Amino acid sequence: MTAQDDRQDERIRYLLGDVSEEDAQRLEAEYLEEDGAFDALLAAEDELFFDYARGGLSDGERRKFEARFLHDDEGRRRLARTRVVSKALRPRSALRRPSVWIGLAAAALLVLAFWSIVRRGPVDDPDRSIAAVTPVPPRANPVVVLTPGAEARVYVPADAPTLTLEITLPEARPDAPWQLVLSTADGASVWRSENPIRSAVRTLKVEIPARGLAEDEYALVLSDGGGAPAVYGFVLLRD
Amino acid sequence: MSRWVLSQESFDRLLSVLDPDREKAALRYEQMRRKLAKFFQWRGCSGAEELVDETFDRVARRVDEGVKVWVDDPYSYVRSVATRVAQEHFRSPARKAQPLDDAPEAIVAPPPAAEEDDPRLDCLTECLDALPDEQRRLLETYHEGQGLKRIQARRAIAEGLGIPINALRIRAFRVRSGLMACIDDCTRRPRNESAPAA
Repeated sequence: MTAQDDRQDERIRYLLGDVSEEDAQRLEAEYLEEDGAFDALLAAEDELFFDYARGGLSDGERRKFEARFLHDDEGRRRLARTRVVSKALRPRSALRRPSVWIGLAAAALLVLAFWSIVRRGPVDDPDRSIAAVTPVPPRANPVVVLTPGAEARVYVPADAPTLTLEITLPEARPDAPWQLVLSTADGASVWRSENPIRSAVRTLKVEIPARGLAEDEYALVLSDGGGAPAVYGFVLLRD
Repeated sequence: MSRWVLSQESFDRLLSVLDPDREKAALRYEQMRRKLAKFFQWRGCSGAEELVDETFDRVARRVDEGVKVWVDDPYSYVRSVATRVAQEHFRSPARKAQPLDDAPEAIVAPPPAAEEDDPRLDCLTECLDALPDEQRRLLETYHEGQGLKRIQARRAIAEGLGIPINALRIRAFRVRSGLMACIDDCTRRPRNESAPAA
């Protein structure tokens, strides 16, 4: 690691609140007095937003980032903008070229064809072939299991009236009055708990209206009125 | 005892201590405000702008009282005041948890706009197209990959450009900031209005 990488590592740790008070004061003296040091920290902060948006932070870093930068609307709006830009900057590689799409589609068809032959099994087993083509009925009441640090996916059929959020609480606190806010990737709140919710166990189950939820990335922010909020991410998929 | 309030005269005195040239002093003041806002945010304080005001109020008051707060290094004194303000912020009883039952009525926002209606996507395309080729390529290659591969790729870009890695980070940040500002401007414009010529 070069000395410059080392400084960048220190900047990231400072921004996540992970340096000693002595080191924090030294960095603060530097950037308050030198514009170059300040610019380097602004750049490091911006990269943290990009890395978070792309899932490039460790669990611990994610939690610290959420507590420090996503506790207010401004931070969440900034993250939403970063996500938009980050998606556009994904290596264009060759994916936008039609010939590559055609190639990929052909490869996918080959894989599917091969897989269907493998799964079909012996041709004289009618039950197996029927099972292979029987569609799986969509769940009328889908459930998404949310655990800290993991991004879940849930398929919600168009006619599902509700979506159940099954949340593993950050800590077991039977008397904590949890408040929940669900936001889209661009920071718009789409649902919030009307009253604080309590749970005697570490798992909380909440049923929310599903019809107004579009296909999107969502963030569920869980707070108990003090301390750092817990943030859970999930992707909601539609037909 | 009446509470000290920042007057125009006090503010002028504060500026004159920052720099004898008023224009330079104003620029210096703005830059200090910007840095202090980040200082409080990076310390994990909420309401950074109010804390910046509080810091400058205290400094201006000391100047009013005739205290020689600095000679060559205004940041050093301002930083010591700001650190104290941050420490007091964390000790403030107002930061203690409020009962959720006292929270205002919950508001259910309307469902989000469908992706095809998101004006930012059109704006993003417009702003990316307006970006000079080398800047766009810089951003794409800068953000490519993960872990060690990404570090090595960035070193290679910096070497190719003949600049230190830190200068590359700042350069990429400035291009991203310009892109974000372009998207913000574009989303504020009426949808059928085209971008001003560069």
